[in-house]
Amino acid sequence: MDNTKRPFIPSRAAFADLFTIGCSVMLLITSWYMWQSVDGMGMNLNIVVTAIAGLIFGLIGYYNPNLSRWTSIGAAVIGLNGILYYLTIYAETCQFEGTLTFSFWLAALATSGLFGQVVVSRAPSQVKQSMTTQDLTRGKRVRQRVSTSSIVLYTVMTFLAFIAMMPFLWMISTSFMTLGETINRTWIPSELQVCNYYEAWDTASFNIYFTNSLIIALTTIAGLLVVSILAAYAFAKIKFIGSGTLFTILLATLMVPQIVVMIPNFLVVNGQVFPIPETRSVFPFIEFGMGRDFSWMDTLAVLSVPFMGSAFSIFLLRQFFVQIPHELWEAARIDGAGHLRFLIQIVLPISRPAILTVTLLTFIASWNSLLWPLLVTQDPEKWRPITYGLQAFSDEAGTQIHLLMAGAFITILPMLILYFLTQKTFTEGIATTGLKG
Amino acid sequence: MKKLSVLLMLLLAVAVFALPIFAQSEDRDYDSIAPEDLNGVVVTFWHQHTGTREEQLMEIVNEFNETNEYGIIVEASNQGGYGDIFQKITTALAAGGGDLPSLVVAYQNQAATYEVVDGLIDINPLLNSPVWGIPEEEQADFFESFFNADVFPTFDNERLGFPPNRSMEVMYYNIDWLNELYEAGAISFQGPPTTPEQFYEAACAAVENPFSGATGENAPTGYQLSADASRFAAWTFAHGGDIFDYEAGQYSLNSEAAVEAMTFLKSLFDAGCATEVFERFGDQTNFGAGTTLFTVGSSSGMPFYRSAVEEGAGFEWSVAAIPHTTEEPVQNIYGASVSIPVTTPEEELAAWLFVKYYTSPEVQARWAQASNYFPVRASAAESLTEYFEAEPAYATAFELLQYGRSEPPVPGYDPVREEMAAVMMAIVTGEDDRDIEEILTELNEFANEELELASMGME
Repeated sequence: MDNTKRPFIPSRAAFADLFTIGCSVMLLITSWYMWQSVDGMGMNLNIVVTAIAGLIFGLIGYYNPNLSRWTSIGAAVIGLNGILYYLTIYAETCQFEGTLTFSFWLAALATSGLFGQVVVSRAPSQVKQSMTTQDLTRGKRVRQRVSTSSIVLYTVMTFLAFIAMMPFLWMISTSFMTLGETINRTWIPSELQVCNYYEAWDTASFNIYFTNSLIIALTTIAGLLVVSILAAYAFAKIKFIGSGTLFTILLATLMVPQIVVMIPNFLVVNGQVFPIPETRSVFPFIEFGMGRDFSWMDTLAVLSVPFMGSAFSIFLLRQFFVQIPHELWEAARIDGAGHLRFLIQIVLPISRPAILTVTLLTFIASWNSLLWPLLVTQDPEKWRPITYGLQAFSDEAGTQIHLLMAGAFITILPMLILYFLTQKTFTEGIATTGLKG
Repeated sequence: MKKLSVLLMLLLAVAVFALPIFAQSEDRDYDSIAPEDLNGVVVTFWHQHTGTREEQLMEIVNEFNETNEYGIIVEASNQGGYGDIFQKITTALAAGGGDLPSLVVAYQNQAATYEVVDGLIDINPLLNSPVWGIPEEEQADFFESFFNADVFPTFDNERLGFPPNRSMEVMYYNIDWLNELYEAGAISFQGPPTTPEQFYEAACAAVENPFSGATGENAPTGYQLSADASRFAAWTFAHGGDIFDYEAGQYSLNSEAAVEAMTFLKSLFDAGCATEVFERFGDQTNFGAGTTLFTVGSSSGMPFYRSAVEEGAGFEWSVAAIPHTTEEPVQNIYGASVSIPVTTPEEELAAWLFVKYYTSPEVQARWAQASNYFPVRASAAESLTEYFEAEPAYATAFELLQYGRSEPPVPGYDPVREEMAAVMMAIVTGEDDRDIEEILTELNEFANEELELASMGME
């Protein structure tokens, strides 16, 4: 029997509960401070109740590990309530002064912590993996030899990374500045002008364009994945007459600049070249025809359908699919599977990196597009994307750079989030499809 | 980017010429249209305005919709910038003209491109119509240079647009800094420079004598050039020349005046008295921070300069004519007009009636104040007395309108503009160190080839 005293390492769930308790305490302290330091502010019931509820959830979860999952969900819900509350205050007032600003954001951070505590619960397991209990009890310090060349290499890489990040950091910094600070070319704002974000969102009607862009991107991705996966599978796994020639022709289309196909595409979606389905008709009564009545202008279809057939996506997926061993197909055949079942049950699950890569690239392309949406939409209220909203801050003779940068950051935020969520599989996808440089 | 733009132009041109489904330009008899036929006619108006300009324009549109006796409904909408609108119109023309708006903002050269395929109507019959037009005595109220800018000799003197506003290239200068330079004996004249020599003297003196009130940390500079075709034209005009030979119907980008203008600008750069602009509107920013003495830009940018100075170094500033070698200033005046694409006679007439309202003196006065553009009618200017007092820089610029000259209203000018800006930058920075005349001759050849290409198909 090992009598060695084991150090206390909280379990995954306990760690999350401790985090919940920490956030709740921080929320209580900051709300108390705001109450005491600002005349006429009064005690905010919403926040106090949120903090106390968070504290109770945390304590219950910590002492009753079997309830931890449920208390964690409860903490996330009240955290979300707190976030919405702070967003409301921000939208209504958008003005805070001095120390109150700090307290406000600290409290907002704490409520975000309550909402996000479900994510932090993984940390202890990583500690366990990298350092065993035995190592800790013996007081053994785990060291890794660091060579001089590594130091030089990492220094250079850090420096280059910093240079690469500069425009991005400048954008974030400028988005929090006053117009005066942008004119005087300061690097760091003296006080964070968080209202720039609210003003940018409000001025550019981002609520409309953001939703539009999201719907357009998701529709495009859904259609593109269906088309690309089926086509790529056919090119990779099915032998048919002319497959090589077809694939070569497909690859050749990659060389054609988008600008060249712009007018032909326009003619097609406008019903000028061949009959197209009428967008208002309902399946299965789809009506085909040509001319103005069948035009797709100002519809979701015109912004998504033309991008559902992507040669690059088919190529990328095909490269991944061809690496899947033929023996798997043979085994599936023995078990009675056809191509569709093999694709769905075998190929797709193991092709997650490639599919996520295609998804991410399509999302970025769709989210960033402006030329085509401007061409095929006439009503600014209908289906204009978020990139169009950015134009609100510039005109022919000048620009409001601080608002433009706030708008730009809002615009790229979904892409950043998606990238961070899929970063590992994205890299894997690129590395395993022969596309790396 | 430049190559892409040229490629796009070529593709659009080819597409426009290749497709047989063009809009039909016919002789319209607008006088026979009964007023009740206009009831419920929808006029779609594509423009590029954003912010306060768009708000004011929407007010004008709503007012027209509520008050016009015919029941016309104008639907104005922003369709991106000038380039975006140009692209949309050329693409719509290529697709047979079915998606054309009833009214569109267009520079003269863009209107000329549309008219290559008879995409626009001639506004003259409407303007001179005894029923729907503007009486001759009222026509005289329009500033002549603005009024005639949309008459195209290359298209049998058709009027392909109508001006609702205009802007002008002006020199912005820091009054306080110039005074400091004069008091320090660094320059020999008072007030804004009127000749290139004085401009050179002050610009170079500024580098050695930074402005005492500067808030920016950039090194002081005399002049920041944001390379652009309008700047190319403005400096050429100020040197007594033009960029287009109207008699020969050809560009004259290698004229003596153009060579002199580019040589002058290069000398400023060589002496370290001028720098290029690295970011869009960076010259405005540096001007506001008190680190740039002169900039040259559109008069419509005054509100942005005002904010930049107020939020920046907070000094006295104004605008003046581009320093010139001619006896009187020669100012580059430009501005997009509104054109009426070929649709139906009722829609065309309805669009015209809105244009007529838009350019009426009272509406013009409001539009000028809200947009900071210049009004196109003298009577509108008369009611701006209070605005002139409140905005002395605007009043100064307004006085310069009498010296106006325009850039060529020819098809295919857009890719030429991009090339002009690129060549201008290559010359002043020394990136292209060949003889300036040789570089400009090459540019001129390119421009004339573009003109020839864009004019293909014209009768």
